[in-house]
Amino acid sequence: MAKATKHIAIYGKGGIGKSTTTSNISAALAEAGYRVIQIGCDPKSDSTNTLRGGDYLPTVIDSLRDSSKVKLQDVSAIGFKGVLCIEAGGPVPGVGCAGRGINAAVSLLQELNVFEEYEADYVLYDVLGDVVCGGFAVPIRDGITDRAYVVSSSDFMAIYAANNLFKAIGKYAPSGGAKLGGIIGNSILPGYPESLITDFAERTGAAVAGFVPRSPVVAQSELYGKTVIEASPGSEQADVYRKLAAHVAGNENLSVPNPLNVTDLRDWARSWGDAINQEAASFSASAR
Amino acid sequence: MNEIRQRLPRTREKRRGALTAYYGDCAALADELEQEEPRQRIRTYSETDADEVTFAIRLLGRIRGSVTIIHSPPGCGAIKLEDELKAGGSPWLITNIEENDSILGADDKLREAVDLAYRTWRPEIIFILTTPVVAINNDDILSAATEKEDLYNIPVVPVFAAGFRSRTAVYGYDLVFHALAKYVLKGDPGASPIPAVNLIGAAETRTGNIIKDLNGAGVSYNNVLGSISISALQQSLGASASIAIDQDDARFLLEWLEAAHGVVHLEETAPIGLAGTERWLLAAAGAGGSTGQARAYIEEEKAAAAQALERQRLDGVSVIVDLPPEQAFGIAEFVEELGGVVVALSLTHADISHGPRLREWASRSNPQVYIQPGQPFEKTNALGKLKPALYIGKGEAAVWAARAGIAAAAVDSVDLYGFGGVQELAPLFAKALRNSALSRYLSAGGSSYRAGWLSKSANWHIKQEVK
Repeated sequence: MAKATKHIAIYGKGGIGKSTTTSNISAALAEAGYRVIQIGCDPKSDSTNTLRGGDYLPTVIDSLRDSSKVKLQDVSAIGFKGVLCIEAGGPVPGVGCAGRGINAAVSLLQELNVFEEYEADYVLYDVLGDVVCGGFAVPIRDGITDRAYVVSSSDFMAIYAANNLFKAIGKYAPSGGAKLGGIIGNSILPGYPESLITDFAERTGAAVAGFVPRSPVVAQSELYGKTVIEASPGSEQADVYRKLAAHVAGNENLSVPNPLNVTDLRDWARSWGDAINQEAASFSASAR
Repeated sequence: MNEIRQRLPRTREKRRGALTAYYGDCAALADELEQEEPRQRIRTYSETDADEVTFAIRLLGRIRGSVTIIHSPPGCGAIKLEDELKAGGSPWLITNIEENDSILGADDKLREAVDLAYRTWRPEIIFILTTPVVAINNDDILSAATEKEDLYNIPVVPVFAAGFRSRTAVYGYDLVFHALAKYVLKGDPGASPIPAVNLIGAAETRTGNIIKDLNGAGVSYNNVLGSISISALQQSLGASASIAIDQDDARFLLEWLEAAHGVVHLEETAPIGLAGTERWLLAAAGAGGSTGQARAYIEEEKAAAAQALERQRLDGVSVIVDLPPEQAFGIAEFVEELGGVVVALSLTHADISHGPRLREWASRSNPQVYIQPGQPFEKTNALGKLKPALYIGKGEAAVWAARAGIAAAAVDSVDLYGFGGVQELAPLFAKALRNSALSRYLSAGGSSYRAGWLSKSANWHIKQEVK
């Protein structure tokens, strides 16, 4: 009997910390004894760097370019605690179609029977930025993954990207696409950010999977080319990732969110702008 | 014409309000086309037809001394093969884009194709025709074209067809003429003007009859039709005027020559039928300074034709004409000259430039007008309701008329222009009416469409576009 593998897609605005979050979740799950595959779905092919020490890893698309007979060994590397690292890759910037590349890479991995061969418990897809075209929506379509998480900070553009992803989930969920597992608040500072993300989640019928506070430990670990789980396993930040990984692994409370339309999103953002101004004013008054 | 600075010409829809779906009469369509923005319609059920890629392929195949590289997956080559079988033409290659190329970019394949084209044929010019896959991926064409142009010292010209930008297939000709105007045809301030009228056609043009008439009328012409040479195109910049046998097909070139090089476009309808040919020849002769000789020639030809046509009358015969607009109006006028009754015109498209002809028809018998590029269902349906005695169109659609039990004449088998065209068309129509056995035989097999469908109106699937 084949193992029931959970396929999880992680989306979010570019630069928001998807790869950091995904790699730390993978590392935490692997540390807990699960068999994990992480697939970077980005032409930059830098998703799994911190899991495998940053060595060169040929991407699926590069291998397809060089040979029509690609083997799993050609396009994968074993990283921290046995995480199988794969990078879909893509064309050089400015040519071809990266979205089509994601599609081809995922198809090839399915053809190679990677998920069954490796007997994975979890497959995490770390997908480029926002949903930019049909190709980047492939991981949440056609039943490839059944759940997606979105990484967001409290910045408006990150929320905007999350709202866009909700539109894509809403489009594909009825025909067997992924549902939303929740929002992962990343790089959260003290004060209003948690409340803002929680409020956005409530308004759109989404869940909050967890908050990852901003911490120098993350930056330091990445400078060492490692995840926090590997570089600072005893740190509070490592525990945050372990808790988040446990939630992502066990969460079955999936939903189809209701994205806000552009006007409502703008109005909602403005109301938060006003609230932050008032908070700042009252803070200044009490300081005097 | 600032469009030359752009990568692409504007579509016929944007430039001239072209419609590709319509059902009504000539007066109503003329009213509609005269509005600032004609109301576009969409088909909720549409059958396959030619597109801008198809037309671009056809025209490129008629450019002498050229090689066309079709930058596409193998399927687009099928269009070219069909054209090759019909008309032959200049050599061509296909880059055979595969999935990997669509992901990683296909410019290396394109460079190889240009090298191969140059090595094999030593052409005067190489065209790179883009196709839907390339358009969707926004593949880089220009860098390969520029690099190879420098290497081989011949024009390597990109033609940016997408297949889905315009619903008007003739836009494919605009794309080719735009590319020639942008990359190839350069005015020479020192060049002396040529004492000739540009004779312009496009891809599907038989030229024998009209050339004979021009010679007979003493008109000096620069031949830019049939198998088109780059040197004739280059010379066209210095001609005194331009006249087209199908101004709809060549509209982009005609307008560009006038706007950019002051070559007057003689806006004359196609030289089809007796009156049509007379008007057209007089216009060409007027610009070429041989009106006297032209008048004498015309009288002679008309007298000869009148004698021959006496035995080929269509008195009282109801006719549907189903052709591209310029040919349709010309042949419809000729049908009336023969005594026939035009009950409907079926056009591939119509735009603001067709308004005057539609007004003319509205003031005569105001026949029905359908705009049906392809669309055999709509044609079959309309034919079933109108039940004309004779259908006049192209071979591929004449089949549908014959299957509906209607006598059908396919005009793409003849040279329909000029006084020679008159002598070829009239017997063709008469023969179709005489020999009804084929349509009787074909109609016995029944219709390809169910009765329920055919009981609907012919425009059942044509809807107003809601913005």
